[in-house]
Amino acid sequence: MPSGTGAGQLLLLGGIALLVLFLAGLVTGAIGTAILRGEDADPLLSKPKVHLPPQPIFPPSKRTEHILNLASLTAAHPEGAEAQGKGHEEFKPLGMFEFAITNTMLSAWLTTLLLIGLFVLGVRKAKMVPGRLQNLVEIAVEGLMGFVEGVIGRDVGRRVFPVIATIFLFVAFNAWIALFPFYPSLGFKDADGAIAAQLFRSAGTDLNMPLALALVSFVFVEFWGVRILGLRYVGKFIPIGPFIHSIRRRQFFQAFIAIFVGLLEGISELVRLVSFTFRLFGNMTAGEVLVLMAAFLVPFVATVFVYGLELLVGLVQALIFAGLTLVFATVAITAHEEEH
Amino acid sequence: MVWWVLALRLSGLGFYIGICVVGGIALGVWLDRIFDTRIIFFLVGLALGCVSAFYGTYRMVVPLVGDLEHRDETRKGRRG
Repeated sequence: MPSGTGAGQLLLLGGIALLVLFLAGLVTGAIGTAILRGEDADPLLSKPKVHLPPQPIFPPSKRTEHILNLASLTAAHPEGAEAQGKGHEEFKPLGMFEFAITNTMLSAWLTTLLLIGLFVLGVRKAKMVPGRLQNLVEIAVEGLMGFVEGVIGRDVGRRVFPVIATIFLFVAFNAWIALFPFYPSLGFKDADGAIAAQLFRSAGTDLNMPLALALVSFVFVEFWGVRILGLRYVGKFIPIGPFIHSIRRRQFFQAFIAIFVGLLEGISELVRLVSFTFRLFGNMTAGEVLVLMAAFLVPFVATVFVYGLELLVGLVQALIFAGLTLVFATVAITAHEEEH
Repeated sequence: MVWWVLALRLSGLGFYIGICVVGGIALGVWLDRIFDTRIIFFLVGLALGCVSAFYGTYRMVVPLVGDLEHRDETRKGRRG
């Protein structure tokens, strides 16, 4: 079988190339350099700089100020001021009322444009026998619709579907788009010629984006609760009925318990905001740092595995975010009836 | 409900317990400073935090256990 042998040889060659690249990465990366040439030798890639706060990109004056600020920090503490926590007095994040377009915002806008473009192109010339793009869009929408209706039921499912699907697609595409190679390599240089501020950075690594999404999810869950259950939903947090009932029966301890339980329901609702925000932020930031560190320690091939992992993490986080919003919506519209 | 929906509901449990306990303690310490007491409000806050954490955990776990028992019963019913 000549074709089989050809394919086998190609596979073997590819495997050998991968192995060679992996070995080259081991030797030239930070680990190999430290073992072979001593700890002071410079590895192939310089030590990555991780900036936790998003960086201002536009207007250019803010960007220049930020890059100069970073350069002065490094000059004052060459060993990485941020890592050692020494430069906190000098590092100036954006003020609370100061506005600048950051690299994470640009990335979120890019994702939004991409999603809108994909769906507009997919359904612009919708046919009975769908083309490739229309097919892709239909599979995505039908899959998500099945997911939503399977949990919350058909009637309410149609009502909550747009929000859940948007959250899912936005989180997933935000995570995946950041894996494109132009993300870490497009940016603005400092005086040394190294990239000091990336043009785009995964929006999930900015605490503001997960917080904004968590607030959207929170507001919609409360809205659906009030819309579907009406005043009965509010009664879950301010249990006036059980309170008055207990007072009339002179069971004052029961009345106190009723108020306390309402308070706890309110707390658990607010705690969700925190868990939503930090779960997404933590996973996305950890992924970004992991890619950087893998490329620094063992360049070339090892990073590919991390990229595969990040693809999965993006999907899982999107599923969790959308799934949890859906589950809390289900709880909000049914919990009261279950209790009685 | 589907099993993963129930599992997903438990995913915020760690955050819930942590925030309740730490929040209770923080509230207690703050009140201690205001009223210039030593550890009374701290202890009250800790107790309240623990109680809320346990109550919330109970509320989240009960539907899961109920659903699993229901599922076991239906399985037994099918076999018998």
